[in-house]
Amino acid sequence: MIELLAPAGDLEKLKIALMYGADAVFIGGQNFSLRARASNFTLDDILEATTFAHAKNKKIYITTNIIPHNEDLDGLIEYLKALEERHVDAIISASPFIIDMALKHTKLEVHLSTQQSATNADAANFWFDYGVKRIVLARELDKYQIKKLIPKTNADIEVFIHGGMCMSYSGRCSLSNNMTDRDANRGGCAHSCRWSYELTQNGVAVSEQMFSMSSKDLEALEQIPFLIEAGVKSLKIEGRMKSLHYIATVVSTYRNLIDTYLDKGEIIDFEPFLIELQKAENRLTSHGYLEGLPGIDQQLFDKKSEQPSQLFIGLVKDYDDKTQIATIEQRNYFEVGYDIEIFHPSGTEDSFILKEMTDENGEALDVARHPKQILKIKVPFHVEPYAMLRKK
Amino acid sequence: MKILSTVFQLNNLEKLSAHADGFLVGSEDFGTRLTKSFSKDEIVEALKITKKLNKSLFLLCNQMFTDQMLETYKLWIEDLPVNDFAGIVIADLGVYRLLDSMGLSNKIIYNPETLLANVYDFNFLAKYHILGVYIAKEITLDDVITIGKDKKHQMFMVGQGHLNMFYSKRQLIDTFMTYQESQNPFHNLQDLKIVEENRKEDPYPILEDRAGTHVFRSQMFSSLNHLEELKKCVDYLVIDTLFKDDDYALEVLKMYHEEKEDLNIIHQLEEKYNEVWDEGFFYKKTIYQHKG
Repeated sequence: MIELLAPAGDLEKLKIALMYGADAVFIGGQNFSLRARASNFTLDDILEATTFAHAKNKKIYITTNIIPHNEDLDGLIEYLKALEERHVDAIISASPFIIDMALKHTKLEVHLSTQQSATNADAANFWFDYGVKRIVLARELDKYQIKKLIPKTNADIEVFIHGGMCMSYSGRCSLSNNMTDRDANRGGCAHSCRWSYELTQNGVAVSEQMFSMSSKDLEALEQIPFLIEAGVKSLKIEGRMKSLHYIATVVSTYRNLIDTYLDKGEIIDFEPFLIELQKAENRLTSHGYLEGLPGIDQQLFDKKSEQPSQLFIGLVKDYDDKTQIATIEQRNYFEVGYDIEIFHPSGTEDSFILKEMTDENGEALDVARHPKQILKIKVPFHVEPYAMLRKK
Repeated sequence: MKILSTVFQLNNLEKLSAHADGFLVGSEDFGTRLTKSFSKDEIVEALKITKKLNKSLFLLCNQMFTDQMLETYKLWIEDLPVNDFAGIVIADLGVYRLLDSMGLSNKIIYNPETLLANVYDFNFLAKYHILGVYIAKEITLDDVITIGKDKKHQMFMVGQGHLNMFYSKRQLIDTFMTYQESQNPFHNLQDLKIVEENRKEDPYPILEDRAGTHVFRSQMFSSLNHLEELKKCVDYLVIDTLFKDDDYALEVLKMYHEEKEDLNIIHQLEEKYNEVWDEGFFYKKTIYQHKG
């Protein structure tokens, strides 16, 4: 069965990802993990995560994917044992030291991080023979290269399907180190590749246009059937720093697409899935390398392409079936009279016109303007906790 | 410690060999960031010349490979007198597997650029009996020495050059020119730089070759001041002359060979080649952001 793997930056996002359809979630602990600015999980959080996930027959993977320097080696074995004691399903690593210590001192399953940039079956087999069970392929392969690789390895293959794109081969970039003293391979990437540059020849600009190395985000809705048939074991969504609403929307969309394909054997129209995905945020997307070497359609030449979405206006905390009152937490501005869509964890949607709203104390309100304010609203149908309210 | 150099013209090998122990050459089919792409015939010729000069020749096969490329590479390398090379520099462990299956593991030098930054990872391939590995570029001199003390195979290190910071498979300059509805006259040129709007004093060399697009440090890294320390641990120190020429190589090799820092020559080189020498990450500790 193919796995849909989602990111999470905190426990709430982790639960959302699993409730909205992820089969597994990858998270960063407080040690040995990249994405330092993501809210990384304590060991207690990790235990809560595995308990929550395993109750749903789902899995938790921990990223231990830094490229350590000498001073980063201490404490690893104890940390890996602590992860094992918390029933983590696998670690995702790139450093031979971390991989070896996990294989030697624990029974943790090890997945090879994309930081190692495995681009062929021989590289996959090197690591499989080394003891790694799953290979997260480099993003630089097209779907035909992926299909050709899979029968030639016994390793499980994981492929990125959605989210931000490293412009360099992952792990082989030190732009950030050089330009900001922040080590990209130890969680400090400053995304220097996304900045604007002037391209010059012998000191003279070759164009009035600023040179950009930035890429559109990856989006692989149309490639999912191909990847499933190719034998990919896990489809990975990127973005441990993304919002609750982003994770719910992206996970739910791919979940529905995968289930529809597995049920019907084909996807007749990708458009509804694309429309749903675009509710997550207004970032420009492309197929990355999946349809071949990226060209003009995969690059970003306008750095203002990202627009924060205002669609997500509230998160359901509770619902009283007798009174039809939902308790919600405000996430964006909205008013009485708005046409509101409820986005359920099952992926289904209902809508209603908001007719009345109060604060926690029963004080009537016309406008919800305070972030995270607890509000009571009347919803004329059952809603579950963790359902999301969107402005239509 | 042996000194190796890249080269632009084979007819300069003899001149350079007075100060170098060996040379690195490659073909753009499988190598990347090359001073010049040499044809198979030229590589064979280079082997003959270096053999006559009693120097070593290393073959750069440092691209990332797809399965299709590995198939093509096998045919290509089988057609070369591989045993005559002192070593084959690779960046991809898939290439290791292939060369190992051909009985060539003792020729392999692994250079994954950034990935071997601690003593354990530096040695992780020792059990496979390869020739050596390149130490990561973004670590301190102390770390280089510490790792070198416990090395289990030969240590290679870039001793002089514009250190590569970024390797994308994308043809980024070509895409940029396409966006402007222009032809791309800049492919494989060594006179291009990119300038970040807030770092105008640091123009970064950029190269687009068949393997992709590469961005390099603006300063010229030099380890000339630290040869005494490096000799204790580094087996092969590489002078990378990409963006320069063989005259540059000659001047620099002389100083390394004589272990003598000649400030006049350095200033002349800085002026002529519009470059600034520095010591890279030798004294610059990058931040582990989480701990920081």
